[in-house]
Amino acid sequence: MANIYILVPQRGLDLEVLDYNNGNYELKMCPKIAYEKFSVHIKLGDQDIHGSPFMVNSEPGNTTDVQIVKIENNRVGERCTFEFLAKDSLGNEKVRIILFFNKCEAVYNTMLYSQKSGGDNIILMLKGVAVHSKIFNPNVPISIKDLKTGRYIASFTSTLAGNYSIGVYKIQTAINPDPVFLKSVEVPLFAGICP
Amino acid sequence: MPFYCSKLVQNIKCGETISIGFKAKDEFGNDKMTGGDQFVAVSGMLTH
Repeated sequence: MANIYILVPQRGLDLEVLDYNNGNYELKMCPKIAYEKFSVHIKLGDQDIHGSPFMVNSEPGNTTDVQIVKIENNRVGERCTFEFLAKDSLGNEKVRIILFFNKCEAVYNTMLYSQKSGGDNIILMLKGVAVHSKIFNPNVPISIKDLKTGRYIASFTSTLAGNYSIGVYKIQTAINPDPVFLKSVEVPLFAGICP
Repeated sequence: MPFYCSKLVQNIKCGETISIGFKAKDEFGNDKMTGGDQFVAVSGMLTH
């Protein structure tokens, strides 16, 4: 019997070897970390077997979570920026979403906008309650610019302060277009500075 | 006893499993019909 060595990245890769007892073997690999590119060497003694090393690109998995990482200038009348990180179920960063709030004008029931990036079809659902009003205006436009790098820049306008909630959803597939909720992010929009 | 790969690996997503199939042969190129070879995982390779 021979010893066959499997040389793998330092961490984040589950391995399993199946012996079919007929001369056939199967090496199963399940990466946990998005390395982008790594190699797997399989050696018999000091020499790689035929076909080794194997080059592998491990990409982030499907987006299942989002995390807000930055809020800047969240006052009415100012340009507000919100940056989000989207991650897969294993914590690998998937996409970045950046939102700009600029002179927000009303309060806001629901706003839907979708944009594809990095293989995900992201939908942002905006809900808000103004401090002194319960008026809802579902027609507040929100725009998203896809930077094609996994980052989004989105914007809408409002002039009323309040507590806002941004729900981030994604559409799984064109066959199953129902949006799947990922996370709701609470964003306060404070009153502007008195002139 | 050379081993031969029957599949190539390309792109995979984290959390998904892929496999590489191998066929064991003797030094004369004959297919081996039994198993029992030991596979040893060694970590610490550079990733790029």
